[in-house]
Amino acid sequence: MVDTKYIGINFNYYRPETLKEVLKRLQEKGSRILAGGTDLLVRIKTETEKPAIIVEITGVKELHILEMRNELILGALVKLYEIEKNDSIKNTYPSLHEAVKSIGGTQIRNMATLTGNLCNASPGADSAPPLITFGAQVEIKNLSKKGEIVNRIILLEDFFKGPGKTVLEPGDILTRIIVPEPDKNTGSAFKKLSRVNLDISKISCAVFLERDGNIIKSIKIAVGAAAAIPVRAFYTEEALTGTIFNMNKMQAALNLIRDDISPVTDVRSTAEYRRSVAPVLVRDALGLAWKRAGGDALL
Amino acid sequence: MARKDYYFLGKDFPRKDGAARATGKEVYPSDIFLPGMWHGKVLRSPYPHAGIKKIDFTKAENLGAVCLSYKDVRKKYFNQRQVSIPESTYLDWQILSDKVRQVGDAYAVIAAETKEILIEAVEAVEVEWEILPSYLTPEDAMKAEGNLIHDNYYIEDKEFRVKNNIACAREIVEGDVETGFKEADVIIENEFVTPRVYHCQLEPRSCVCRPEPDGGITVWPSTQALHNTRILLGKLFNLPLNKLNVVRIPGGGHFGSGIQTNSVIYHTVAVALKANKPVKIVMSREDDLYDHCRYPTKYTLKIGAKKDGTLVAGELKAIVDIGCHHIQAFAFLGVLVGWWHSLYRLENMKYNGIAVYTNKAPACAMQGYGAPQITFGVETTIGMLAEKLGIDPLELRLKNYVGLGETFWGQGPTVKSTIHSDGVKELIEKGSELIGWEKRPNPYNRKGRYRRGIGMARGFHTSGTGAPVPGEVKDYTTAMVKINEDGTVDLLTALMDHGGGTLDAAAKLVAEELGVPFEKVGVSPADTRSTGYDVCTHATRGVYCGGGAAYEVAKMAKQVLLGYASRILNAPVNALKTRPDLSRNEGVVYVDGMPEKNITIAEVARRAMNNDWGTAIAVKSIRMVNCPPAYTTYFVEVEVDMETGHIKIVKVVAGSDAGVVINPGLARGQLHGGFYRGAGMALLEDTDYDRKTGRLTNNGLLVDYKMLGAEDLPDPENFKVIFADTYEPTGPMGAKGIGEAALNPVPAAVASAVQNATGIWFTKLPILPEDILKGGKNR
Repeated sequence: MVDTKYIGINFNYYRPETLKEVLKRLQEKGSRILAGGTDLLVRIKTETEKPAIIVEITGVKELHILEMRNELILGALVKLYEIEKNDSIKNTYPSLHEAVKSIGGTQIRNMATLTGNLCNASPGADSAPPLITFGAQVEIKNLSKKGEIVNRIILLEDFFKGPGKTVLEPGDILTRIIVPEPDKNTGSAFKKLSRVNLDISKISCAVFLERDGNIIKSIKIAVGAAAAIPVRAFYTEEALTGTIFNMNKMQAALNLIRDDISPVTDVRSTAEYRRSVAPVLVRDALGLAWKRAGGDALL
Repeated sequence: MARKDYYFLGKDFPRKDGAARATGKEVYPSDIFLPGMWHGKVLRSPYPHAGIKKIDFTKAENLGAVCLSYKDVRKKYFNQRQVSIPESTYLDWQILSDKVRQVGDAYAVIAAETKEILIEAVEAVEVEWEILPSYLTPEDAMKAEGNLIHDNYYIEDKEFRVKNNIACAREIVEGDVETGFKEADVIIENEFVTPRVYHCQLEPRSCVCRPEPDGGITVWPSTQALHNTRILLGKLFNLPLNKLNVVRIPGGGHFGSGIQTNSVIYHTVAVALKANKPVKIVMSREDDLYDHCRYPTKYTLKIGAKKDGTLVAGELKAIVDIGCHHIQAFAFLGVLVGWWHSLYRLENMKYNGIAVYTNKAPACAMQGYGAPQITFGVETTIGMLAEKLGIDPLELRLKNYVGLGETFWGQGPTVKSTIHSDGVKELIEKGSELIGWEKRPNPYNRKGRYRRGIGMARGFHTSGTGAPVPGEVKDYTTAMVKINEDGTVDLLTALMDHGGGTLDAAAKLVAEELGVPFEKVGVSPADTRSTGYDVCTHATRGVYCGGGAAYEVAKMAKQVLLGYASRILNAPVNALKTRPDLSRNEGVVYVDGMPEKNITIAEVARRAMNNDWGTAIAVKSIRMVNCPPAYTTYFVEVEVDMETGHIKIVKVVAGSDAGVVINPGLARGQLHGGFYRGAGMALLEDTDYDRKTGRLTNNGLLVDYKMLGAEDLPDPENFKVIFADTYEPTGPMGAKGIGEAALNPVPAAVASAVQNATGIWFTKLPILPEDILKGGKNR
């Protein structure tokens, strides 16, 4: 039986101070990155993971970067509370702020990193849907055979491969998240349903839209905990794009969300429930995002 | 009528243990570190039902660990709980058994000098299992003919064979049910299901044991019952009680899970004795989740009423899934009918209760002990009857409830007493006004996404298990009160404080009776060597029975004190009185009618010592001969999101009839706490087992055992607490209990509010958002 009072495995532990050293360690077999530890330690204690090598990256200064000029740069070590307490992020990326604030309790947010929330690749990772709708990219690094640092940048939308699975290969590290600056007349919102306030989502939804008068000029919708990975709602987006915002006339479009998702039944809820409430959640997030884009939410 | 002229009762003071608890300096079992102490761990089964074919400790022992299996311990059967008399105590436990009966069941105990060696040793144990068929529901279990969970159990020395995994059964009939139902104009019958709630006390169950040089042991356990723990350990390890000391140590909450002597206690003792070292075992949260739970119930309840609302007959058939051992299943079947019987008058009633073994963690008492379960069904049925009869639900309740002058079953059919105080009417009247009962909407013509509803339920708990004639349950407390040579006072009792302020209440009663400032009464550290027997701090008996004993003994110590004072003041004892003089911060003895003729209690005590008269001290065992109901009434307002099924608790009015309230702040806290766990039971808390693996679907992890948090509860300004103005004539200075009553009607009240909002009568708890959406569509 699992006993979370003990860590019952032996491992080697390193805390390098440069990215290059981190990448070298990551080439060793069975290595795992430790950042905030809020997922990794639980996995070790519940024996779902048995790493041979733990590479703590908190000593690498450049990974602490949090910068907002035109785009938002979030280094791999940016903790959730740093985002929660940042008013510029709150004003510019309200859905990201809402999602981050809804993760865990204070103690968890003080330790956990945003990058960790993504790399853990839970289908219900609350930070993923808003970042996907903003068109966020992630920077991934590893060492070439010659020992040089190699860089690649991909869309976050293409990052997830399944529950607990991402495009990251052994030796890779996600070094930063790059979030583009939203245009004018845009608005975003995040909504989730959970068993209690302090909980992982049963289902979550982020909306990011651009308003042109009373028309939804463009829209991105991403849903969490409703498929094997956080997913874009392409059918719903397509049906809503270019239409006049009117809550009373959008129900058919909103119901398309049920075709966009493929929920399962688990310990938190049922597939049936998730399917049933998905349009409600999208509608609530859409209404709020529209309001934030300067639109009249009563329409 | 209540007495109003108390010095300390009804006023708030800082808790005596407040500073230690708030600053983190309180010492709990897990904080104990003794010189040379070893660490222990209990090995737990991965299978729901299996025999041990072979167990090999060789490698573990080679690492220096001390190991125990069923081969190393006494075979005789016992029951962890010692509250009932032996004739009603079912014995089916062994210290370790040659088979495991649930995932998480103990099969070996290991101790080692360091935690590192311990973990290595645990990994090195080799076991061969013989997997047996397992039964995870009572329905499956009752079909079994062979491979039973237990082949037999004992009562005293008599062996009984188990059939179809049925652990025990009870039947009670009063009046004539068939005739009764014939007289009924309306009959309502439903099946109710209540969840398998986990206690989730803050501190997992723990124990430290130190073998002593004289062959005895000292034990620091998490428990609600010091003396029962000592008595059981004495039997299990063949130790004379004078060499077996169990020490009171603050616990991180129990909620009933420490009434019985939990397995971790005797496992720690067993391995400490074998190692001849002090050993500490602190259970992990996962171990604890597999250790105990509230009794889940499934029952059909049928109640008939006349047109005018008079209830005429009732029938209750219950199946209780007790998990893999008896703790108090027989007593539980008794209280289930007892609570039902004491809610509303039913001249004709029939009850049939069956307790069934399953391959799950053993169920035990938890705050309310069957009352929240049965109150949910009864109060829901009362609501349905009111609707069908067209009578206001409050009126129907007031017409039929068991109140003043009637008989109350305080602990099943063998513990009965007459009701002498009753604040039900007052609580219903005040509560309905505060919640706005008149504005209660019609549940059947609602529109819109967010729907508000107002509901209510009432209930009670017993205050202890005393009765004029002793029944199946033991109930008495011993207290000692000693007036020190400086006028301060020591109170010594084996009572436990689970966090509600029981010991402060007892000290306050002593201060009030002796007439000394509250801060001058200290609660002495207690252990089983220095205190007389106390049955257990359970059954909401702390204030009424435990405080009652302290109060009676304070009276006796006061008589000794007045005897000494009489010699000094040259006045007869019956002319003397005491009072606290708060300006001097002293207790004072004075001649009644001549207040100038007085002397401080400190001076009396000093002179009594210097003159060799003696100490003003008294000790006695006191048994209360009543078990008064502590009534509670809850009015609840909720808002239901009909599109997501989310239920928000908007407002609560909690009413308590606790007699004279001793610690008002702490009493209000009890009602907040009771509501919190009751609402959790109504809306959230449950545990389930995977039929294939026999494991908890939450895997013993709290991440998937959800409980309400502060953000899920109403703001404090929307949580109103009211106390009835009552005086319990049999209680210490008019007081009765509160703790479990604070929870009992809550699940029913929340369900009633949800019904008012949605029009759906839920008969199964918890009511999840998923159920709201389904129920909404079915209508």
